[in-house]
Amino acid sequence: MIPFFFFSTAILVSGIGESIPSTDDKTFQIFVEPAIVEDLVFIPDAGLSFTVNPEGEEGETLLLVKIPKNFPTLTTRSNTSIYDPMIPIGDDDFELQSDMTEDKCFFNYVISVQNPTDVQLLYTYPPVNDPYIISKTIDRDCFEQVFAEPECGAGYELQYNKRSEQVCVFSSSVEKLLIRGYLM
Amino acid sequence: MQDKIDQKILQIDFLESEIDRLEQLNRNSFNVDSVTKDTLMTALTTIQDKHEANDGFHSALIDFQDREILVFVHPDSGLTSEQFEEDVDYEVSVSVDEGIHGPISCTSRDGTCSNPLYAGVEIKRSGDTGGPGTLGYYATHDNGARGFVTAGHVADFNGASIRQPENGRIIGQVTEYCGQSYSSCDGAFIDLGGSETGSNRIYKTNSSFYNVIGNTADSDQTRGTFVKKSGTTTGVTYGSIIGNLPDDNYNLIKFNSGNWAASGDSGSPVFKQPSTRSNNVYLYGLLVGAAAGGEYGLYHPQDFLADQLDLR
Repeated sequence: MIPFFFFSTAILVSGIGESIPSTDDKTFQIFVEPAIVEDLVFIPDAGLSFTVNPEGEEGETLLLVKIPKNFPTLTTRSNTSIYDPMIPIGDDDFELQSDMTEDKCFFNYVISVQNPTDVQLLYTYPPVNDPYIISKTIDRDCFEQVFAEPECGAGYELQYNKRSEQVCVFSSSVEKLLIRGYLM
Repeated sequence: MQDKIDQKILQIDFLESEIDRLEQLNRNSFNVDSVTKDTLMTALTTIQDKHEANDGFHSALIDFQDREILVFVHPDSGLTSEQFEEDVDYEVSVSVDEGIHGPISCTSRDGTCSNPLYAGVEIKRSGDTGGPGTLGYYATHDNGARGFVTAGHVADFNGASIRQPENGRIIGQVTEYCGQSYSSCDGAFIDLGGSETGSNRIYKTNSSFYNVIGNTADSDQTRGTFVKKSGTTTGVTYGSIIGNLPDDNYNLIKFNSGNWAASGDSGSPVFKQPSTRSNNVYLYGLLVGAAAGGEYGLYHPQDFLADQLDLR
């Protein structure tokens, strides 16, 4: 479970037809600690950008950024999902010191920043074929952590279909759909 | 955001006016008085007359800006600036530029390049259904074999046969391979076949080439340094080193404009040209990755790859 003191932001990623496999709209959760980050946005061909809040304490700060493993990324080979860790760039255009580890559901980046600053977290890819977007599959146990939960209307329950997409299902239909394999 | 943009525009305007001013100063610097001009002309004639029959001597010219004679020689000639200065009784300074002079063997990146092969031309693994890559730099294996370095994801695996250009002849086999991951290692050594010869040349244009005269260690590849790369798709482009962090196996470049690294540039040699008056360059590394649509490039330092691929 993610600790409550993390800053979290919900990123709505529109359906990506050219992704392999193609995706529908999904809303991902990205977590940052300490909570001094704002304006976090997804740039499909590049990665993520955000501002380290000027109201935070000035000077060197270690940021922990948790990115879902199934967050869309770039690749140029069908057999590799990602060309290694993303690379953080500061607003002075220099690379920032960082370290990446991974757990079951997230890539965890520890980035050294000089607050205040803007940060770009860039995808990398091998320049041998044109890059395209993919969204990896992920263990169902991770869904509650990596997806922001949309509100389903009265009488409906949030479920996940076979393509890991969030769907609102009439409560009495859940069991039937599960048995028939339409839901995970 | 608008304030930042306005600030950048002001900076660009200032830099453009500075470039104009420096260009005028540069033009003025070529003007020499008549006495100096005569001295330089006499020295040039003396050097040409004395050395024109020497195989190691290629050509000489006057550098009016630096008020000296510039002499081009073969690297194995043994000729030094001191010898030329002695020839002219130390009346003028003489700089020597080492280079291999001969007919151009590679007149396009995607055409056949042979005897010798250049870095920066198109290659592809035999049987690969994807796009082509770029032949990296010339190197010697610890076992004495001569060949070229390229990206591991271009070579794909140890033992692969490599074609030049992509549908051309097989130039050699991969005999060293360290993987396809920029954060650990993405490199390969292609051992040239018996009839192929390589060179320290890097493709520049259809009628010229850069000549690698030395290597620069990763520890000396400082942030802010301008470097170039020569790749199959985007040709010769340049940028600034913006990342060389301790313990990382790669360095990061930001391209000045347009595309630094597009599909097909994998394996490009990265180098520094100290002076645009000479095509002599120092090798920095091998391009293996890109980011943000090609605005950024990732490369392995040459000394890192030498260690990983058992190269001299």
